[in-house]
Amino acid sequence: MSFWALASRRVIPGTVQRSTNAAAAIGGTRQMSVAEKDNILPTSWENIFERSSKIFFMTEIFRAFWLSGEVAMKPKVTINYPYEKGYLSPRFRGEHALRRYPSGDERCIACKLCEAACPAQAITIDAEEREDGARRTTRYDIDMTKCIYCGFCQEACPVDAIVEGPNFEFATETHEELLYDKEKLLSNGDKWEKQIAKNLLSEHLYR
Amino acid sequence: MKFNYDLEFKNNSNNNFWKQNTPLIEYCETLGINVPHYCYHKNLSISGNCRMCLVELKNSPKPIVSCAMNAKSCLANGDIHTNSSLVKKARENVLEFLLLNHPLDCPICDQGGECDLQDQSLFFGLAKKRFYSFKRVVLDKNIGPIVKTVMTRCIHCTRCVRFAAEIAGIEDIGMFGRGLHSEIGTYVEKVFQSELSGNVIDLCPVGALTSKPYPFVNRNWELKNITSIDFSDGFGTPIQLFLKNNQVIKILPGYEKATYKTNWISDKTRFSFDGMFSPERIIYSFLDNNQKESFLNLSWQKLFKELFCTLYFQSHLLKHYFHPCSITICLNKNISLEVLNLLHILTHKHSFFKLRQSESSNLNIDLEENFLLNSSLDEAKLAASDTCVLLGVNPRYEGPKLNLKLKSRCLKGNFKTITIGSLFNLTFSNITLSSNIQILKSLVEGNNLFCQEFINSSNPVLISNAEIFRRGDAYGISSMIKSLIKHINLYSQTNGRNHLNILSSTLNDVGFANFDNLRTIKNKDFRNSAGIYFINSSFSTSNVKKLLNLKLLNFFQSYKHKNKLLVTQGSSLEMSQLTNFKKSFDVTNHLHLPNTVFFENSGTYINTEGDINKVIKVITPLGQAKSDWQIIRKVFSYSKKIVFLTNFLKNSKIVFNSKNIHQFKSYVGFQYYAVSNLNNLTFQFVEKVTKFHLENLKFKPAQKKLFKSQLRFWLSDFYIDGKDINSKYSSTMIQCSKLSRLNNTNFKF
Amino acid sequence: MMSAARLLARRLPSAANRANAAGQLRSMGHAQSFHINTPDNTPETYFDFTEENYQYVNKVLSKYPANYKQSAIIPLLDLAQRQHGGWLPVAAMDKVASIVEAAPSRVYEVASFYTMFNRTKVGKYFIQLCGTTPCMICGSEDIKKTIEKHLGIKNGETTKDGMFTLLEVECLGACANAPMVQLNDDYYECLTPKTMVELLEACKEGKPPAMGKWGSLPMNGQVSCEGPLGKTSLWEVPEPPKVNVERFKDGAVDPASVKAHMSY
Repeated sequence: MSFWALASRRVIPGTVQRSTNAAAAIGGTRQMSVAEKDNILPTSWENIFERSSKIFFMTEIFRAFWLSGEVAMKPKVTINYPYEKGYLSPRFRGEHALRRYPSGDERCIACKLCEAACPAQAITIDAEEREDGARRTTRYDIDMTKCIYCGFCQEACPVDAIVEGPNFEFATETHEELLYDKEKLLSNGDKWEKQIAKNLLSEHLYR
Repeated sequence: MKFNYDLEFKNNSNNNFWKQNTPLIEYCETLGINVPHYCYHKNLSISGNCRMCLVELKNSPKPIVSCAMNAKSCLANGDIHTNSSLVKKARENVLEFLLLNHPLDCPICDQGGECDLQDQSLFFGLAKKRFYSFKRVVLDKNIGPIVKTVMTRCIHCTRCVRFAAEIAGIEDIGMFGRGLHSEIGTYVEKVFQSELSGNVIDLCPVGALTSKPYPFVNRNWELKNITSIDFSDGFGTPIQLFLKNNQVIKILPGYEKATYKTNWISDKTRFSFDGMFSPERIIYSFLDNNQKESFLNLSWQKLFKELFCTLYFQSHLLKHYFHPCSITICLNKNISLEVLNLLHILTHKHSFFKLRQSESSNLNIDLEENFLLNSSLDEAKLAASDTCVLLGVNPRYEGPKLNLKLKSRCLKGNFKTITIGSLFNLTFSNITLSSNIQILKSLVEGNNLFCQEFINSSNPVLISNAEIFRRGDAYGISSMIKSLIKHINLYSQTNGRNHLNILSSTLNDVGFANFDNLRTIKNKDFRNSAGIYFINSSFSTSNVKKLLNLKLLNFFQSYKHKNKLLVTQGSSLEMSQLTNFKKSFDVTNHLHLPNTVFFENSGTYINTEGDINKVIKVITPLGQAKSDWQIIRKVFSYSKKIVFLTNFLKNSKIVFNSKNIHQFKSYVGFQYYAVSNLNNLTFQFVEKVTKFHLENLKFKPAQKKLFKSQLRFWLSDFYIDGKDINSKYSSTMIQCSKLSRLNNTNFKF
Repeated sequence: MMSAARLLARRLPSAANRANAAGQLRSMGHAQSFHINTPDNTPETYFDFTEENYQYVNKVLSKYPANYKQSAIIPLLDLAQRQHGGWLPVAAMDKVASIVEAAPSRVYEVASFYTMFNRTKVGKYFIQLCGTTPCMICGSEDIKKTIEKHLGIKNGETTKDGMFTLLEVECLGACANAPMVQLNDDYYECLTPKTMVELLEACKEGKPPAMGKWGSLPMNGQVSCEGPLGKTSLWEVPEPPKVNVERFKDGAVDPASVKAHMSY
């Protein structure tokens, strides 16, 4: 078909557009019906002018470039992750930590409420009497790969010993490192205590 | 559990099946309504001071205390509502008062999760509080190494006070002061020195009295529950074991098979199980050749090979001298019936294995009545009798269950207990004649003033100990006792025959007696044997100790065989005595096979009353240990591979020819299938034969010789000594025994 | 949050601190509900009733049936207290327990229930000052201050020489003659600070004033409770009530007549 015929093809709703190629492939063109003949608008010189100026002056391309430029100049919402981080609410639930009292004694009293509350059974606790008669754990493990970070343990703890701190960047390369034991949790607590304490201060009235 | 059930009775006092004194609270329980309470307990007297069991009785100005009111008379007077608004309000208020001074200890309290106060506050309490002042504080009391007290949590239900006074018999605990300052304790610093002291831990509804060994170790929701029997004495009372991670955490009293009642268990039952898992337990095998190298941790295959190679070598050598070579197997009486049966079959097959008991037992085991505790625990029988004679037995420490039964009978009145033996404190009044044998003799001959008691008594009960038969003059004593019984039966007012009841304190003493009469180990066994095989060994049983000491004093002549073999199969070894033994009996090779402890075995045991108890394996064995049964079976199969050529005469096929199935003792019959299925031993309970008279037989009586000695009490220390092998390694028991010895002697050491 | 008292209780369990653990001073009748060993009061110290006291003991025991000897605990404890100078050592309680054939715990329970049994040492003169309403509005605070200043002890303490012990107690029933103190068994009523000091001085010399005709001694010169203005009534012997002797003649009273007699 000629270039002009292709350019002037229009789709009219309510009719069936027969493919002119198909007609040619079968063998022979078909006579167009009266309705079809009426609906084809003749090509006018304005249309031709418009179309050719679009092609020669590359209108869409310049429009596209303009759009790109606009977008490029717009302020982005993407943050530059390692150097910028998103806002975390004080209620954010991240890596677990075991806290201490200001005197240095660990808070956890081995009541096992967190173990019972954990829906994933990720916490394992063994308890014993310490030499000075206090009730403390000998083993406090959280399997971070089982944990679903729901925060039930934090809610269940009567002394605010186990908390979910604001840290979420604790990926490791081996599975074993993610099976946290009591030492790891306690040292976490010492590391993050300031921020955890600040979060708790702003949140404790709602807990 | 129907808490919200409103029970209305309409003058329904026609029920005749009530006992006269059923409290209303028990009646409600039979109907399925649980009235909450703290101070009421079925086995203790009624106190009525907690006020939690209030229910409403129409036409009464106040709600009534249902634990103290008679059901029949209450119901005759009106309708009872157990869940009306008045009752609900009453419960809320009582709980509010109880919680007023109760500390906020739930996270650190051992009773959390099984606490009555917690549960009842959840169901019946209010969530609001009105008390904003300071709570009162009570100092903790030290009442011993078994019970830990945090008296601030006490709600003054006085269950422990009543238990100590009525059941334990030691009236040390009381409630001192009044009002806000009332405290429960022992006024002066005293140890609650009773063998049943651990039961207050179960009784206390809150966490004021908890267990001192293993505090804080577990919560009750993470423990699994399984039943077993008590291994520390001969009664085999059912207990509940609580397990976590393949370890036994605690033991609580279990439910009786017939009546579903719980019972009181002694401290030894409760706390001596950690002797089974102490660090002194040997779970790996070793072989000591007196060479430079000693082997540890051999695999079982190698062990058995060693054993049989040695034996084969010895028998081969000795064949040239034509000396019979035998291996003595020395048994302790707490092995199960299956193992005993298997050993018996082994001795039939290979006659060079000889079975011996480490301690002598009953001489006459033909009739069951001669070695069982026949009728003494039957409440009806005890109620009918009014005298009890204890011959050299202290039921308080040998069988606390029996002591409780006797004490409750004594409290009902009109019961006289006569003790022939050392002066005991049985927690109920008893009359002690001397501990001299002459007293027994004078009673039999009729010279004693107490014979009059027997004439006037009805259905006297005679209880004695299996220790009587361990004396050298056992024949004389037992025939004397028999004639005493005969006289008592003739002259007193009895209906039916009375027998001597034997209280045995070893786990399976009666099982052994049912099975066979094995001979006791004596010096000539050591002399004639090429090897000694101790099972669940007991170097500290009096017999073996005596032999050892006599040998050390060079009392016996030297032995025929040098280079003996010693095999010990047990979970612990006493090294000092073992080295003495090795030196004195010329033992060169020592092979140790670790076996499993009581909880790691399944078995069948028969208790002193003749009841058969089956126990299943509860935890998996540690280390290399295998159960007795498995070891003996392997010995069986290995011994088939190596042929022993000595003693041609007695080697016969396996014929299970239990000597016990004859007309006297036909109540237990053994059946077994092929050797490979030796795990299935079934028991048939046919009939207990009790009415057989042997008196018409005329035999010439042997010369009776009596040693002029005393009926000494054999158990020097309840906590450590005893027939079970675990308690001496248990740290709790060691502490308890130290403290009790300190309190009972004048020496401070 | 644990109160300060509980923290203290957990950290200082030694016997010396037990008295202050609950935050209040407790001694004598209100002493701790557990025993603290002091050099003169341990279970091993010796105590026995004197010979003449044993006669009284037997008289008391004979009042009760043989299987209810426990009823004699209270009178025997009182006797032991009087013999020992106003307070009960543990040894006395054990002795009473052995006489009465009860467990010592039962005797300890009785002794700790009643506040008149002093279980800690008391001075020779046990001053019990009434501090409830009638005495207070009549000035018992001043009396208390006088005693404290004069003897140098506070409420609940004993003087160094062991002569006086001061305790403020509840109402002693002599409200008409407020303020008053009870000294061992005697009431001294209508006190003023001056007469209180005189009383204390007399006691120091060992001669406390004797009781008056009616069993107590008002210290301001009254005979009994007639008040500072003197007697205003009962100038003559009052008439006894009219009793119809006829009703009691035969030794029996008709119950129906009692109600009729009473209705007025």
